[in-house]
Amino acid sequence: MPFNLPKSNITEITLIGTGGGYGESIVIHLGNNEWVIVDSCQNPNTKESLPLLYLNKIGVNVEKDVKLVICTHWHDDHLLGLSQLLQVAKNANFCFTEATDRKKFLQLVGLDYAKLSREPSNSSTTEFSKCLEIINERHNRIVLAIENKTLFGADISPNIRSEVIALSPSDQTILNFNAEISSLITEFGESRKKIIIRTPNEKSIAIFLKLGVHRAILGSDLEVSSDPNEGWTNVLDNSIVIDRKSSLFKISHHGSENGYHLRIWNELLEDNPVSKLTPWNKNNRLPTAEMLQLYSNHTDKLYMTAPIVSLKPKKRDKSIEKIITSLNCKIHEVKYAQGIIQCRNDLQANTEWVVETLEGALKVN
Amino acid sequence: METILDESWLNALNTNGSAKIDNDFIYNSLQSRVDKQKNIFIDNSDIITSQEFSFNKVSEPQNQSFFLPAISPPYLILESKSYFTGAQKWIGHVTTINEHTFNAQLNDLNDPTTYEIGEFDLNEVPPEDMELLSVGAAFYWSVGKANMNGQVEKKSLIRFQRMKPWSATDYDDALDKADTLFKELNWD
Amino acid sequence: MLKNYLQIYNLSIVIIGDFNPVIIQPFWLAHKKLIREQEAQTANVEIIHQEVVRYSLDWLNVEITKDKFTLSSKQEPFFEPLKDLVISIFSILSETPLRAIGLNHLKYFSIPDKTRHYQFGNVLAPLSNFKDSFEDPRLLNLEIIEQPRKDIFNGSIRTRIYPSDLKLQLPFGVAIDVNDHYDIGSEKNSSANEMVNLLTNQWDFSLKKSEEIVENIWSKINP
Repeated sequence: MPFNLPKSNITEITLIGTGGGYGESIVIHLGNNEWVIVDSCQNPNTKESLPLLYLNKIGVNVEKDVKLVICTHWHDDHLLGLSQLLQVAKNANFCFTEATDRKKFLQLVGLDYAKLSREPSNSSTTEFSKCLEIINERHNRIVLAIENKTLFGADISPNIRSEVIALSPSDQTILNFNAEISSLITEFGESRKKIIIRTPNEKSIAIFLKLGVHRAILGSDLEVSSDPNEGWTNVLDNSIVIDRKSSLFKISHHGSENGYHLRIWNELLEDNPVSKLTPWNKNNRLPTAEMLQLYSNHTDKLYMTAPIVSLKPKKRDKSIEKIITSLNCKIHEVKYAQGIIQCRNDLQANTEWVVETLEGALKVN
Repeated sequence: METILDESWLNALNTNGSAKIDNDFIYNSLQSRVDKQKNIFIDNSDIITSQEFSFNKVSEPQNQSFFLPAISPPYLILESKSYFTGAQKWIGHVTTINEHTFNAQLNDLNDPTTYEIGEFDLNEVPPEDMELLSVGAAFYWSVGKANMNGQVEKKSLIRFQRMKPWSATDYDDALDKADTLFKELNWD
Repeated sequence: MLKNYLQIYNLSIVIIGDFNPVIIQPFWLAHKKLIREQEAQTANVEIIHQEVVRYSLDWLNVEITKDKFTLSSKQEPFFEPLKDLVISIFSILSETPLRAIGLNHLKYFSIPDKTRHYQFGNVLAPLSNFKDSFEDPRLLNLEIIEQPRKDIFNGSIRTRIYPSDLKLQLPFGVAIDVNDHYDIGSEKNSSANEMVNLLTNQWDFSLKKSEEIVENIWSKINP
């Protein structure tokens, strides 16, 4: 019975993902009813926050037991519905990437929000701004993520401790981000377009989980950078928090080539780890067949939250469809599909993860 | 052309919200319009029928029409010159600009659920909107059949969003708000 | 659904306040880049006077007096640009004292046959109730109001139904006019900023509400 509350000695890492580029979210049970949520995504039809829906379904007391909500990076597909979740999770602190000049960072967020607030937008900026407002009203804490920092820790029992630790962004990335913020504020002109952060994936928060005896890595959208002081190379060369290999891996950046590094699989992960990913299905599709094959070579426990569907035009009134066709308009729908990959394990026992694929999720190999 | 009833309805907004339809006003205004139209368009059967007609305040339609037509048929009915109803509408945000085309993420305004990706020719952008085309820019796209002066035409309309330019005051207000938030937030 | 018979949709935004009509001329709008230059050049100007300004573009009708500002369009693709224009004008003229705003959704439907046209009126207001006093009663106009509003705003929502005064494709025409009215501020004049925020936040609601009212009426007539 997957839709039930895990016992206090059972840890859970559940990936909730969507097929179309509608995003992903991870809910983590550290033990003892202590929950941490990483990112959020939304059902485009109902506008419900999917992690919130899942938590309610399994019977979590979201108001009391969610202790930290992490926004790994500034991309629509990781943020939508986050303020909805935070609204309910009254006990939760809010975590996002460190910015050296915090005031300037807020100015950037504020400027973009002011620009966008008068046009129809479900952009990441307005979602992020709402989260800041909620946290401010409650005087809950802002936790800033930087490599090797423990974002949250809980003593589950005298012998068991669980921790959520940031593997990224690196110091170098944060310095570069600071410079970028300055130039974005300067460039802020008369145009009506929203501010576009360059390379948000480099700033994303990859996470190392210590859950009792188990270890897991959540790759977020972190990529392999050309700069060895950023991205996965920096994690591989400079991380001081990884004490042993992980048995579970949330594959980064939708299984793209940019998020892949052989050293991750050789140095950070056990043999045959449980590996899961959310596909991306917008103008390009991820993972490619080649990457899926590559991942299958590393593990036979490869899971995907939803299949990659082909892109077709949206179904509409016949008369409108005819006009669109006759005018030679090239549009296709980014279809929505949803899946849940639930992974549970005993915090104290060196046992295998129990994996359930729910809704549209599937085992790839 | 505004209808008489529109005018009286709009006037009602001035009277603390109580809409009073002045029937005499309606009839008299209609009559004067009839006279005017007759002189101008006596042979134009699109606007009014070519038959001579009488304008009665109370009519007795032959069928059991439930609504009282204000005048007996053939009616004086005001012609609406151009209208565009039932369009499929999107708001798009430009994602990439290529040599001859641009791509955009489209949000369906009629059914705001899943989004779409569209590719457009640059020559579909009205010349005066070209200066507004940039990555991230918002535009409205509509497709449908319009009635333009009696002619039904298939239309695909792109119009880039135009809003008030950003001012120094707006900039300062946003920065002030950010500064306040910076002081108030409970930082780690 | 009744919206299948919708032929003309006239959306107007009417604002009550204190205006200086001569400011908001086509070339002023073009100068602020709120409309295209070419639209300003080809505007059909009826009158520019300190008391009243009235002109039209291909897609927009503008009428402004000292105390009433009206923008309207019968072209659905331009409803959002119309809203943007109102927001932009009063973001620029942010000191204009405003008292109320109304979003008027005037929809004309061509009912396909006489029976359903009759049924439309008969369900809304059964004339049998009046046969004791009138030999041949007819419905001229039906108006329903909700005041005060059930949301956080002051104002009202009104629906008026009457036989179409516009020539439609079919002879059995019905007009349904939904007036979504908001009072701004208390008894004093309020700044334009409040109106701009209200229009931004209530736009979707207003469009959906007018659709909901129309469909609810139709569902009673065609259960």
